Amino acid sequence: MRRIRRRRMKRTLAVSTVVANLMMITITLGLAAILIAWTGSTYGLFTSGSQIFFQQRGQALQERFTIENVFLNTTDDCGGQACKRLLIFVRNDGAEELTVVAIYVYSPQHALPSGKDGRIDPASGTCGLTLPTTISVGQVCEFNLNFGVNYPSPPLKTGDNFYIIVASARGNRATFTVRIFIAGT
Amino acid sequence: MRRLLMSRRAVSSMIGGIIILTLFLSALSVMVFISQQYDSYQRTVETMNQRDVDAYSENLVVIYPGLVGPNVTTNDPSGGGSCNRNTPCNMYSILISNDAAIGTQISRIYINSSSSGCVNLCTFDPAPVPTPLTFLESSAFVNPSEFKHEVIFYLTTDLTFTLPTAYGLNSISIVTTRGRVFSTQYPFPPTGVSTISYMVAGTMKIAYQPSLVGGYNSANEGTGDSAHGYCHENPTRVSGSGVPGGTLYFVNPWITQAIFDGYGGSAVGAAFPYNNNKNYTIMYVAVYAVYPNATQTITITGGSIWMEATMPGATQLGDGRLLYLGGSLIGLYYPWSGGPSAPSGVFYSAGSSPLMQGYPVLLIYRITSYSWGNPQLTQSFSDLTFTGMASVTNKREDGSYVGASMPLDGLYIRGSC
Repeated sequence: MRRIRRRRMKRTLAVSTVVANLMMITITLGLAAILIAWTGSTYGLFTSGSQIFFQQRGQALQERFTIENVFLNTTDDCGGQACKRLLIFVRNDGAEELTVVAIYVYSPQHALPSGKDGRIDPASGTCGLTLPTTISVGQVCEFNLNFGVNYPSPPLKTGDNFYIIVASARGNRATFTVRIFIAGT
Repeated sequence: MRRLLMSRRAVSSMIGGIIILTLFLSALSVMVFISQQYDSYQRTVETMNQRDVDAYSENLVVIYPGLVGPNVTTNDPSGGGSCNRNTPCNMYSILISNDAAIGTQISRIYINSSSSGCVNLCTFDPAPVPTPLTFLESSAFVNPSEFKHEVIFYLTTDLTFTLPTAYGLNSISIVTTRGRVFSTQYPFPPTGVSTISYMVAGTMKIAYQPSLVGGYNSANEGTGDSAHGYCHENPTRVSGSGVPGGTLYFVNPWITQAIFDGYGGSAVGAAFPYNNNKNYTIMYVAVYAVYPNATQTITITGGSIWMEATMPGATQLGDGRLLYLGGSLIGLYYPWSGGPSAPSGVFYSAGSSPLMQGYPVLLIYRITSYSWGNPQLTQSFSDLTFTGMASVTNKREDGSYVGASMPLDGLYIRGSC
């Protein structure tokens, strides 16, 4: 009778109490380690993401630039012929370096020269020939957009206007509307 | 004590507590870090807001007499500039008043002239010594509330600005280091009667239809009539078929609210003789009056104002339809005091309105209708919204305003040809 009881007892005990305790502790610590690692990586991603977000927002906020003046030069010499150049003066008056990535020009009276619709690159100027171009704090850049000799048809006249948008890499933009004056028209 | 230390009853609770504490501390550290980032961002926001407030507080005004000069200078007091005896410079100065309670640093000046001077845009940067196309660095800062601050700048001697004694326009833009641009025109546009008016940049043009000017036909004027100080353009440019009968064209008006804002000290509209009928809108614009020679007197006896879409820069409705504006002239004022035989503030009804050479007049039109073309539909004027470049402000007789911005054009340009 006692033998039978001992056998039943042995069958019901899968592992010893010590082993069972060790297993439970190991499982608990393992899960805890996984939880802490997951939490740490999540928080880390959150932290770095928020840092980048606030940093970029702060830089975008500190970026200030102004289109000071726009002038259409119709008498510029292009190989013996008068060509039209749109001069755009952009000043970085913010606290961060400015990267101009695009200049958009639109005129309701005149279609821009072929290939010049929408975004256009400067032909010359004080800040490089191609976009994007960088303007340091306090610097003023003259973007020189050469529309060529034959632009436009019909000819430009006083009262025609151009809408200019200068866009920065941080998503800011400055706009300017110029109503041109051409003597004698 | 020994039993307490050796007891294993609370080990699992402690392990759990440590895990929870670890999680809590890591979350706390992240929160602290993020709040620091946010604080830093807020400081940036506040700094930039303050910067904006400072920028918008700036208020530079170019004051009378405006542009002074030229004084040819051969002096280079510091010995380092380009203006010297060998290469003299034209020295000009602009008188500025700082109407703000904040100091302002001028970073650049742009001047663009319609006739002489900076026909191609001139840019003036600060320089410590007299140099062509620069202004003196020492005059760049304008103190808070400073009156009559003199900014001295230099041109080469071949560049001379148009002075008030001649026709022409200089557009002056003063740029500050905070990014503000203050623009003015020189010579200053005349102001209206006892109020402020302003002029749209451009050139004054006007043409008189023969029936309006006692036989004078502006279409017969020759090109480049320098004797009378204006240039002539072919009237076909206006409508394609000459000057239509009974029509007066003009361009680039400056706007004044003189009449309605208290002419002669009276209440609004009280002195204006056409303020009782609420069925029409009065548009009032000012133009330079010109006539072909000094011996001929021109009297506006009537006429109408028409905007036609074939005119350069004319208003279009955006869908290809063309806009026409119709109304009749009812009289004029001379808002600028000092006009010969035309004291300021006297109203001349149509038919008794002499035009004095070179003096601005305030032409009063009664705009009764507008329409757009083909087929033309006549609509109530109160529904109209204008788009365009030259601005005209209209005021209905009931006191409400119609914001209007419309292009006007004409035949003659005063100044160089």
